[in-house]
Amino acid sequence: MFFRSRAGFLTLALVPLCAAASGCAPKRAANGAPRIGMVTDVGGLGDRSFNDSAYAGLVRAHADLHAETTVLQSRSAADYAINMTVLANKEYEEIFAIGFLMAKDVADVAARYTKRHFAIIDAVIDLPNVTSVTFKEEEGSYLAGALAALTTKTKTIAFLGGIDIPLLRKFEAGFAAGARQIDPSVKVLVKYTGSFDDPAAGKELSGVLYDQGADIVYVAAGKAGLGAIDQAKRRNDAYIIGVDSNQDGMAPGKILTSMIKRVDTGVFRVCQEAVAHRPRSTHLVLGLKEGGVGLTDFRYTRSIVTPPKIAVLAKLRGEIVSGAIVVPSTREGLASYTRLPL
Amino acid sequence: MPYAFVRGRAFRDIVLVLVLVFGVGSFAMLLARVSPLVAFGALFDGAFGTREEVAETLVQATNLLFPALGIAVAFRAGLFNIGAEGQLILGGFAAGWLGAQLPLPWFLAIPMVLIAGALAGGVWGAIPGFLRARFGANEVIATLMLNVVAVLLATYLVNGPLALPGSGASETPSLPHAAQLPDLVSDSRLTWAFPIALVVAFVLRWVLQRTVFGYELRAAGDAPEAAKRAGIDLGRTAFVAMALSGAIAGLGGATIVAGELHRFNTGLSPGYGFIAIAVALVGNLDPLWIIVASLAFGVLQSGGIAMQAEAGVPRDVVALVTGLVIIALAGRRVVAARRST
Repeated sequence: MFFRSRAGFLTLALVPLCAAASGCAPKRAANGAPRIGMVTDVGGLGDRSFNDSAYAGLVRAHADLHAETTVLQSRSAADYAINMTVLANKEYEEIFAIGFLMAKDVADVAARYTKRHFAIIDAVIDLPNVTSVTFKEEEGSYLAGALAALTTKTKTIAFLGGIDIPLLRKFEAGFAAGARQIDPSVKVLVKYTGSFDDPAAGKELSGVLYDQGADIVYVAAGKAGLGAIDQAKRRNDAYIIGVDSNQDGMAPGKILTSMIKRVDTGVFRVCQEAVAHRPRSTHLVLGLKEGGVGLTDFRYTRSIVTPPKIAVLAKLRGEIVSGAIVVPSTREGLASYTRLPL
Repeated sequence: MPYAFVRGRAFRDIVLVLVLVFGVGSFAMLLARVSPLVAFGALFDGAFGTREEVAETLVQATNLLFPALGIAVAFRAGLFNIGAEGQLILGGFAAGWLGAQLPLPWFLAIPMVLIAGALAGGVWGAIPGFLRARFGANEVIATLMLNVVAVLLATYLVNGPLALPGSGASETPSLPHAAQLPDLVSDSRLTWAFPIALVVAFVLRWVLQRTVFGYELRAAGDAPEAAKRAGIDLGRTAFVAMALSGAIAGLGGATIVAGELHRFNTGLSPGYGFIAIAVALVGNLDPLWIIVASLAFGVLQSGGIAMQAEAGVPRDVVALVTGLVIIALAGRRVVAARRST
């Protein structure tokens, strides 16, 4: 049989190699439009949170900066490096990695593709061809904690995090510090669900926190937040503070506010640098001052978040922006945090 | 005798695969409202366009070649091992965990990491081999179920007893530089894993065709009754074949960890162990043909992502075509086996 013969084998074996040798096309002619690629984490587009926010920044870069943009979604952790490699091979000017889960892959691919430029959200990578974008989540969380302390009737509020890692402790420390600033006697309960994708755990643990007397729970736990919102809906005088994107409309009236993290702003800022061919920042830190974090406009909770409370929040915000208040970002920092007499 | 994998008829298989890839592929691309010419253009450009893209295609081919060779060993012995995915994952886990512990020079660290991967994969393959040999347990069910167990076991270990403090990712610490497989081509992820895979393929071909063990293994697969009467211990052959099958897949997992990721992550495989079933069948269960088949599927894998980035066609088209290839080839073989008995 033909294919059992040695000659037949060699012929077919050589086909891909010949194609490889002859198919080495010349580099694509640049038509002027910069090409910007993005790799999502396993949460993917449609998460109504982190990845969607990053995508919004990319859409804005497409509209305002006329960049050619592409998104590759990752289905497993293996896809991170593969997707970035494909974009690097396709000569994208900037390649975004969305989320700290991709940190090692970005470090690895960026070290191999020294002529390409990468950006990662929520992690710091010390390589010349990587821009790290991080947020001062503690500053936004500080305002959330202050609002919770101003609003609580039970003198007890709570933080429900995803995985107990330094990134999430920034939320926790800022939240507790903000509450302490308003009223040191307010108790702050803390729990972690252990994952970012378990709504059942979010529902159960937020129930425990409400049972322990908390009437406001600040949830920074990805999809687990959906379970917590569900729990709050079933109770009277139980409120949630949402996170990452504006979640206020998901249960109108039950979500006091959301601590918004403007991943879109971070993405857009890096895109501006890429399009202008400016030297890229090595580390962009976005806090209250830079418009990187903040609270929502209390659209559904105006009856609870009254103008006097909003005035207090505005004052605190000014003190943080001016540097008078330095918000702690770790538990150690929180332990030594003393309230500023205002 | 549940399955005899009738070999031969490779020409028909190749035609069938080409029809599926280009026919069904084109149809799916039209559904995505993209001209098949544009989409296939983007696919092949993404696989071959530049030196770096050829390298990434070879990376994908390597990742498929190891499990496909492992699968071929089992299939040749008449055992439908669909547990390559789990064997590969546990091989990667053993390599990543041990590799991060060893402060050794490279000429000791790299072999140890690879051997650890092969051993772990081998043990995972030997379990269903033992169950088959001792109790006659159906290896299809056992290997399929053990895939799930492997993922959960590795996930538990990296998140539980071996968890990294302060990391939210399900992974082991990074391998020291000495334990990493060196790169073969600059500006790419292609490492020495590729030549290692080729050597394994040639050695395996020699073992299957030229050794007594290879003969016994093939006899057990092609004509188990005759093999038994000729004095071949079918149970022992099944056990060894499954262990060897798992070891090769586990070695593949170790090369992914030591070469590409430099750490073990529970999501290290986007399904290589399953795609490799198609690779092994298209390669007619012959190690040298499997090299060719892995290159072809490597093109689909790396080009498929480029196609999604450049032409906007979801790379699910590639998964669809791969699935149809498995159904068509495996199905045809089972039907043929039924007819011949």
